[in-house]
Amino acid sequence: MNTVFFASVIADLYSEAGAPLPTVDRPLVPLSDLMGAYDLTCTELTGLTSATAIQELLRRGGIVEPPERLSHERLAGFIYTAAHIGAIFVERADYLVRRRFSVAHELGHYLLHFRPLLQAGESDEPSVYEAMEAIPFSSSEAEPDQMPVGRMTFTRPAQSTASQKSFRDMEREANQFAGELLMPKEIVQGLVEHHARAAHGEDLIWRIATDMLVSRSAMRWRLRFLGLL
Amino acid sequence: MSLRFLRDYGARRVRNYAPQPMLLDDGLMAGEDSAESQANLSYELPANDWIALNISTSDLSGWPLRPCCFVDGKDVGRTVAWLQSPEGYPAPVRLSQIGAIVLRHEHNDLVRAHYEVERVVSLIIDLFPWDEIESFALALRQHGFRLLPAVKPPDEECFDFERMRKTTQNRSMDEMTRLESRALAGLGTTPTVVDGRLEPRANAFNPASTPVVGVIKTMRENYLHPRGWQVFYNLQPGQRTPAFRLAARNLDVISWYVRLDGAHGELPNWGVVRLEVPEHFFVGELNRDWTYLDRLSRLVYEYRCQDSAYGRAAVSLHPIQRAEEKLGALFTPSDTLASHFYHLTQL
Repeated sequence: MNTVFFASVIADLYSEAGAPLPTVDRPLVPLSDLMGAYDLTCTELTGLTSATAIQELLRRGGIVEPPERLSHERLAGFIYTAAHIGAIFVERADYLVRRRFSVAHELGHYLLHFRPLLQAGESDEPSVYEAMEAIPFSSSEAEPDQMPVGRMTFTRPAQSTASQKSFRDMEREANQFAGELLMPKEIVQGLVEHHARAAHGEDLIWRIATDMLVSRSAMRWRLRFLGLL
Repeated sequence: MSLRFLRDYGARRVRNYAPQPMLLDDGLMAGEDSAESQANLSYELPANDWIALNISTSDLSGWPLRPCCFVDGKDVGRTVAWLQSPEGYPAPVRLSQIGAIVLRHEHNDLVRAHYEVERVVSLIIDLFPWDEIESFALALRQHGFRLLPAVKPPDEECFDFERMRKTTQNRSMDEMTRLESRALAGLGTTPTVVDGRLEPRANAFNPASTPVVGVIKTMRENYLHPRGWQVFYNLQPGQRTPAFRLAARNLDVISWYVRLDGAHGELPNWGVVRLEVPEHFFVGELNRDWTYLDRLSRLVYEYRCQDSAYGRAAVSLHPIQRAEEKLGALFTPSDTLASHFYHLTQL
């Protein structure tokens, strides 16, 4: 998957949601509106673990039986998808900018990895397709340039399809998708051009990160990726 | 996009009021603006040999390092509302106008060379659902306001409204400093006076090549030793202390005190400002030329504000006072802006 592919997925997302594209003057991406394009729910939970997330889905009646291998490890983000449901959870106590990135990361998994599998399985046994991904919680901002690396779980037979691509690659793709979605290249370039004469280094990162409602570490990572830092 | 966010969380208007004492005042906030600098007092003279130094009176008109630009910033705002987070924390909403201006000294006049003004709303966003804050930020932007996310204090301090209020105030002040930095960055290596410390603006200039001087009116840290305080209190108008070195995280500076006004000896601390210049420039470009400090001191003394109607005249420079006035004239009256905000948010 490359940036052209991500751009096409993101364009479809905007089209489905009917959401306005960000501009240099209004650079904040309407992630909440974009989420509305698909049958995905997003819930903030305090003390998020895969167990508490699934418990919430059971309580809502979203699923009937809990999947296996649930954990009580604290998480920043979690997604559960099956043929009839897609649910994203984020840790309520996390920084808001990281909550947004976690949502975008999980949305990336849904659009890039889970949905294609689920769609491929619709014709035969949709009920057995089930996928989850969890991002471990980090309580500090001490890992400035590390993007979240989650853990994925597929049920069979999705496992065999998914294993064609390594989990590590899928994590990298989800992060890149989140970066492309929340910090579109054209907007970031436009903002850098607009501010670069008067703001440098951390001041520039701070300014653009504030206006795009992302963390400074995420913006620093994105600027480096785009060769703008 | 919704400005109803505030109402949805039960926001109430807040009248203009004097800051209240901290609920949990342990003094931790007092040093927030300080840079934890370390002072070397034996930089110009041995620490035990400090004396008040007379300033050079040579003609400064043709001096190539004579500062000709003056940078000032302004943050005019207040807490206009408060709401409660789902956990019950009181969340102040600060509405401010922030700005920065550059005045250039040309032909015996002070000309506006640059300015930037913004309307900002500071809020501790981490207390609220991400999607509602996103929507609120988008709506604010549509009406010409920027949302400034303030950092949430530790949970145990979030119930202290004054602590929360101060946090949002610090956020807008911080953003104002960034506007000042942007203004300063546009000046390149032009000799410039900045109202305030250089360290928070260190990203804005090259410390090796920029003749920039910071003028600090408010003393937030005690850098001096007992001998230093003796010299400080006995400075006559136009005299300075020996220079000392301040090492901070982002910038090392050479600093000293100058008395601008003595109030005829009525008050020991009247009319003293602290100046600082980048050490890198002073050592690398000027090879520790002490006359540079004398000339700067003399110039600052000549620029002292002599408008007795101005409340902070004793520690102000005329160009900085003019900059503040010109910037203030670009702001919408606070009450008008607050009314507009209440109208938009239906509070």
